[in-house]
Amino acid sequence: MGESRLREFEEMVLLAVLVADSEAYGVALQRILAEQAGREVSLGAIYTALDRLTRKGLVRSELGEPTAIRGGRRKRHYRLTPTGLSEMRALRRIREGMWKQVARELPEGGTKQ
Amino acid sequence: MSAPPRLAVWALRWICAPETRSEVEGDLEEAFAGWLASSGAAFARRRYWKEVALLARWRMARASTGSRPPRSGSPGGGRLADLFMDVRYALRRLVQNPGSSGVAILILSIGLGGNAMVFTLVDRVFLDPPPLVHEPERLVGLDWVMAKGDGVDFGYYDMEFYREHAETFEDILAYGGFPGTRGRSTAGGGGEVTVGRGEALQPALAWVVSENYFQVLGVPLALGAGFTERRGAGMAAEPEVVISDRFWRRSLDRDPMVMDRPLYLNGVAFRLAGIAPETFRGINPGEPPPDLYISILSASAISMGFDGALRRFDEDGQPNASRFLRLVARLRPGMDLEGAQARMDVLQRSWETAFGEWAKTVYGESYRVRLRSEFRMAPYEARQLRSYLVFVWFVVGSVFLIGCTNLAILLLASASGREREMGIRAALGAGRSRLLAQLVTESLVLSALGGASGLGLAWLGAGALSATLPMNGGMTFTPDATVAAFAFLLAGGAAVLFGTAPAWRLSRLELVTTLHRPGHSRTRALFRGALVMGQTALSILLLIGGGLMARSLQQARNVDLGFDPDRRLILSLWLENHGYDEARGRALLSRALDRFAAVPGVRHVSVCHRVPFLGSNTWNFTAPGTEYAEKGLRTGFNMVGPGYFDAMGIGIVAGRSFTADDGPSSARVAMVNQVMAERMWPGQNPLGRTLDLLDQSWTVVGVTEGAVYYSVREAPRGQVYFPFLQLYAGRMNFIVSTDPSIAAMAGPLEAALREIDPTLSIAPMTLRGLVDAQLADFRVWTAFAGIYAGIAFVLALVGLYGVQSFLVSRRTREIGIRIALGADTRSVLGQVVRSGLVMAGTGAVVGTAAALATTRLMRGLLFGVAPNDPLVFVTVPLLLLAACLAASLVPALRASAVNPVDTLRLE
Repeated sequence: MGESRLREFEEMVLLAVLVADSEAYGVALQRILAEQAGREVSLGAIYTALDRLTRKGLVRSELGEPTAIRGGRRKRHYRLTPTGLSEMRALRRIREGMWKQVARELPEGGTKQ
Repeated sequence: MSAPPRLAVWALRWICAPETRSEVEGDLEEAFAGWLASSGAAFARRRYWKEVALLARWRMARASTGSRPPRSGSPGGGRLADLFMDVRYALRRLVQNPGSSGVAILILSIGLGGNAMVFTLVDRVFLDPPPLVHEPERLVGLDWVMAKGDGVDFGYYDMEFYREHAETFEDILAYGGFPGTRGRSTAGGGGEVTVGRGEALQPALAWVVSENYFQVLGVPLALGAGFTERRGAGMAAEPEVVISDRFWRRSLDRDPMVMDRPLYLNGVAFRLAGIAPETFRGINPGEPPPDLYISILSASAISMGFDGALRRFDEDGQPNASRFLRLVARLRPGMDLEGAQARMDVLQRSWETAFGEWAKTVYGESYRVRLRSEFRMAPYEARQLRSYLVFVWFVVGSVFLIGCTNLAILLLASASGREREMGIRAALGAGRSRLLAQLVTESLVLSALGGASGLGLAWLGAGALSATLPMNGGMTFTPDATVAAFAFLLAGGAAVLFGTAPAWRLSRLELVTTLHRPGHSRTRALFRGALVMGQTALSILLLIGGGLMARSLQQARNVDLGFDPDRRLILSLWLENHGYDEARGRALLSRALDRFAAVPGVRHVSVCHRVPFLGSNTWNFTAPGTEYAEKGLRTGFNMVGPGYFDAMGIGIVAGRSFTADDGPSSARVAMVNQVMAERMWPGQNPLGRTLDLLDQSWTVVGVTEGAVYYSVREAPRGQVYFPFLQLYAGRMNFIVSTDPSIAAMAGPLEAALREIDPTLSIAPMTLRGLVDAQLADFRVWTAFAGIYAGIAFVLALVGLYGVQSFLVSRRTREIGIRIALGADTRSVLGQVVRSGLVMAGTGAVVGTAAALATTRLMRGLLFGVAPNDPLVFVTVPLLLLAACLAASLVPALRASAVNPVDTLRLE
């Protein structure tokens, strides 16, 4: 598959799905991204990412029961597939390993590349 | 509680595919509640809109890649995505076939543009309220309804009476042309009031209006406080005028200080009471917009005798029949037209008892005042305009229909080339409605493009067309939003008209047979035949109409007017508007005649009161010893100078012409034309007979040929001539016949007049110009009908050619077999041409029959040609049939050149 590589935003969405745990659906993910990552993204962007992740086989979704709070509308709940989980585990291992090798504190104000 | 914006919710529903709708709506609703709580309603609504808009992008992306397991129908689902794809596909097809799509768009823009153009005029003239007028629905126009002919003009005293007594009206205004220059008679005449002093003189078109004119209309003046309120007839203490913004800009350089200075009209100082707002052009779309609004009570300052026209009785106690004002009343709030009319009828009866005898003398026995809600135009003006627009619209509409038929034929032809494409799509699972939607989208895209370019055409054309209106309203005609909406609505209609049949046909193909081998059916051929027939019929109808108009124009141009219009110059001089009384006027005229005669290039010069086509005087002439000794014969008359008949080129049949000796102190003499002579003294010699006018007896000394004075479209009427030295008029025209070798005569003549009195302004015109002006609408209508009939003709031929070549291409195989079996070229040729001629011939018969039935309606537009003129009715169908023959022949020749071996090898 040509699009097997995870993009940064997709990684964030996958993380948000993990954070949200059993409450991983559109708005909830939007809220998590806004509050914890400081990223204001549109629902459309999240749906697009989720669609792509579904195609890559990293998440799967199912429709929940209608809830009164949402005017009787259903939620689509997302979960990581086993492939998605192992992909995230691998990513985390790589990142943590690399971060350990960075001894000194990073200067504030951002890095330039 | 605040809810999500309803429109956005609706848009969302439209964007989402049904299976994702619930979850997306739920998410958005929940998000909305969150935003509402944290940041307030305004922010939440804005944010909701933004999210919906961004979702549309997600939807597109989804449609093009597809995500969840495929569903029935198109991948990705969602109507928006489908539409998006269809539009893209349609555009791609258009670009792939630039030739045929170009033709289609051209056909559509001609049809749509023409219609949008006419709609612009209709919209502006009939539908749009006049700019700036306050609550126009409360304004009503007043008409006199009499036993003999209706009138729209009232006397000033009438207005005063209604203002006093009609409690249903809040107020009532009056307006009219400045004396002697009413309505169309100004055509070509230019300004009738001269503004300024010394060297800088400006001609200006003037109306007289009541002082409350602007208040009643509710039109605020751009500058100035307006007229001083005055009541009752009588010369105003200080004459007042309001000028138009156009005049202010054009002639006074938009100088605001102009308000503090007097404005000189015909040399008399007027107080400038105000400047009308820029967009205000008067209320009557049938009249050119005035430059000056002169208060009625001020008009007598520059027009002698105007004072008398305002009074009910003249100095001798005779009733004054001078009616030259139109009245517009503003109803009180809550008063409707019926109620006001009922009150008006009651009021009219009290009016009758109060002024019975007087009214009878002026108006005859029975009359009534009718209120009408169309206050801007007199009924006859509205009728004239309407019949003109109906004619134009019929022509334009027919071409539009022909164009749609053509496109249907084009699409049908291309449809059969797409049967395989559609078959494959259907085989891949596209539903019928999906195919239909795609095909309709293609037509709509085509129409939208045609509509857009048609609107461009309308933009260019509406201005030109407005100049051809029977009465030039001087309005600006730019297509606006209403017109654009109309054009696109029409474009949608066109798409349905020309797109449905082919789309329907294609969408219901039998799958198996189509994929196997495209075939053709009998019903389809019949349908195409009917289309071609309809086209031919419509274009014959248009061509016959156009032909009749062209013949009329030809007749009108060659008509014998009874005078020679070429190399004749007319200089109008309204003496009484320049403060000349009778004695000074006579002196001026004879001095001017002497001066003019000395100008090089002048052959004959004379004066006359009336010029052909610019108004007339009539009188009820009695003549002793005739049938009309008592009741009188109403006839036009003119006051002319010596040499008038030479100057005009009117022949003298018997007796003599007027000379300088026919002066104030000599015996009263008159001349009559042949028409008058034969009616008044049938079979007798009119010379030496007498006519009565103003208690005097006038002896006929000469008989002239009949000359046309009223309209080039009618035969000369009776006419009586009097020597101007015996019967003075304050408004005279010089008529000068000039040497053909000298081109510009107006300048030297004007200079000669200015030497006598530098304040005088004359408006030079040519007699030929007046004749041409008479034929102007005619010429334009003919050109218009001709152009559109020509377009219709070409379209019909293209349609026929298209169908024929399509049929031939479908029958190549059959023709090949026939040739292989021994059929000769001529029989193949004959068969193809015959089928074309049958279609066109049937259309020709139907069209000619329709024309026979309907050209009667054109009678008012024709001149010297019968509505069933045999020449036109025979030539046009024959011409069209010949053209159809040619259009069929090309494909037929191609068919006969078919090599049987090639065609059989094809499949």
